[in-house]
Amino acid sequence: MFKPNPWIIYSSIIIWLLPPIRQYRTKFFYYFLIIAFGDIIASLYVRFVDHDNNLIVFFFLAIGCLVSIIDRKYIKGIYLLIWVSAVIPLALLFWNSGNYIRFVIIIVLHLGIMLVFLKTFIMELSNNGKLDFFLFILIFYEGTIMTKFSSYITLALFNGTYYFFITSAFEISIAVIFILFKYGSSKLIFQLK
Amino acid sequence: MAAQNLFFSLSNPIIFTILFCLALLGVIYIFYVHVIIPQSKKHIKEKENLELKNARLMALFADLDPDPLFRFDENGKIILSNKEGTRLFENLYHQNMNASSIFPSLAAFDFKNSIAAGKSDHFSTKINNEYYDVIIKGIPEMNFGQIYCSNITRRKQVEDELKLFQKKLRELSNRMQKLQEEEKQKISRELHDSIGQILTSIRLNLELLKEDKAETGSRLEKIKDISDLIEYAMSEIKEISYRLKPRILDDFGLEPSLKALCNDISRKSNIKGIFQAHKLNERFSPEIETVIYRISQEALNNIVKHSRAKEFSLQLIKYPHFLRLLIEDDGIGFNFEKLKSDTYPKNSIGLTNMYERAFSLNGKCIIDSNEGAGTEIIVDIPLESKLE
Repeated sequence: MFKPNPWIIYSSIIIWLLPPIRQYRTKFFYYFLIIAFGDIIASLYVRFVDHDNNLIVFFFLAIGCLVSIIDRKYIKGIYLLIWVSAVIPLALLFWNSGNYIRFVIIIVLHLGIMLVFLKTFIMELSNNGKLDFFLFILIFYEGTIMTKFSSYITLALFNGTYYFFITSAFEISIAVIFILFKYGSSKLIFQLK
Repeated sequence: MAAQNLFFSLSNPIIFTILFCLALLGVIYIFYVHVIIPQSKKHIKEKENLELKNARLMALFADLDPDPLFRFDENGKIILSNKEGTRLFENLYHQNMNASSIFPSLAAFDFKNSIAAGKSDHFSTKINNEYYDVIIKGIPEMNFGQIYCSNITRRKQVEDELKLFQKKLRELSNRMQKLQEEEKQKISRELHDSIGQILTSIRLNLELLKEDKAETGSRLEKIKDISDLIEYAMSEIKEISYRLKPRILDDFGLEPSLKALCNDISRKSNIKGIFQAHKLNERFSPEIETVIYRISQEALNNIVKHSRAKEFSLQLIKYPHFLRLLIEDDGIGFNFEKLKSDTYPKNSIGLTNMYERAFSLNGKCIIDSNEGAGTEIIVDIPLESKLE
């Protein structure tokens, strides 16, 4: 039987604390900040609140990440009301559902985050002819999160756990890129025209 | 071995995500090359066409502009001028000329920066004896700038007239104060010299009369002297009073006053004076009567002092809406235009007074004179006027 190495989790937690420092004052600072503290909160939740399930933490982290990256004008006034009226029923549904539905909801939220990054990536490409690899890595990162969670649904528990930890280990290398390069860095932007 | 198989399986999220992202990047690239770039090229072409149309439209507007308009490039070279612009510099204008050569104020102007930054500036200049307000503006979208000229000659003239008018008003105010002081001095002197002397004589005569113990004949003679002196004093007071403001004007009106003035001047100066009044059988407002009287007084004094005339005439004619005073003489006249063009000549202050008095009642004063051809003064005062 596969035994997950807890050091992978600890290393991942520590490494992911660094990108928010590097990305301070950039457009995605709050996104990285939520991710950085997300793993810590999830670990603490498992240890002290619910020993079996911490998916509720990932649900709210996904919501937080989504809100942090969208345009500020879409979280004010009437949009705020729309957000609240969408999140509350979704949270109730999440709370009253089984793990399968919970995974699906989290995957859908991350798909939303990925689409926001994808939109920014395509806009940058079409308007300025710039291929921003920072955004592409973010898309890739969101892809790994989605597939990581979907592995739990599609595969047996053993394989799902194995892939979850493999992906977490891989995400450490992604974190290194976010530590080394700041959003908007010319080293990760390729001018196409 | 099982773990190795799992890792290199397509079920591995990492492998799957890498393949997915590579596929996504490929799709985006194809989308970019086949959709975005052609669309972008199309938009650029449309934008260029739009700019061209806009430039043509602007050129059309430039031609239609009734004011002079010039277009310059980043070197300051005039690349277009409308009809008015070409007409304005018809003697100077030629192909490839520079904006600074027709507007010297632009000698140090940075045309390139003005166009790039869309800056604007303005100044005033004089071209062919006409004043122009010039606005220079860079148009970065079109990569050229335009110079707009507005003719402000009329405004400038009005401003100059206003300045001259203000200057005249100041002079007039000073003149009025001076005249008032002179008048006070004159009254004081006359009171001292004539009335004072007469009263002193009367007092001395009375003293002598008190001490006189002679016969009645001598005393009667002294009383007669005193009576004569009192009569003389009365006539002096009447004269002073008349000069200050003729009582006849208040009591009997304009026609008898002007007639008396005319006769008085004529008698004292030996210049034959004729007074005529037409259709005048009513009184006018005190303001109108005073203004007409004072203008007549000023004009007749000028005739006596300067004209060397042998004859003068003064006519007062009432029209339905205004009263006309016409004063003519056959004297030496003067060059009125020259007198007017001087920098506010002090010797024309009397004429200015006449103008200002007529103007104060919304009236007008026309002076027509030529050297050797006498002088004619026409004053029209509206009958409804009130002193402003």
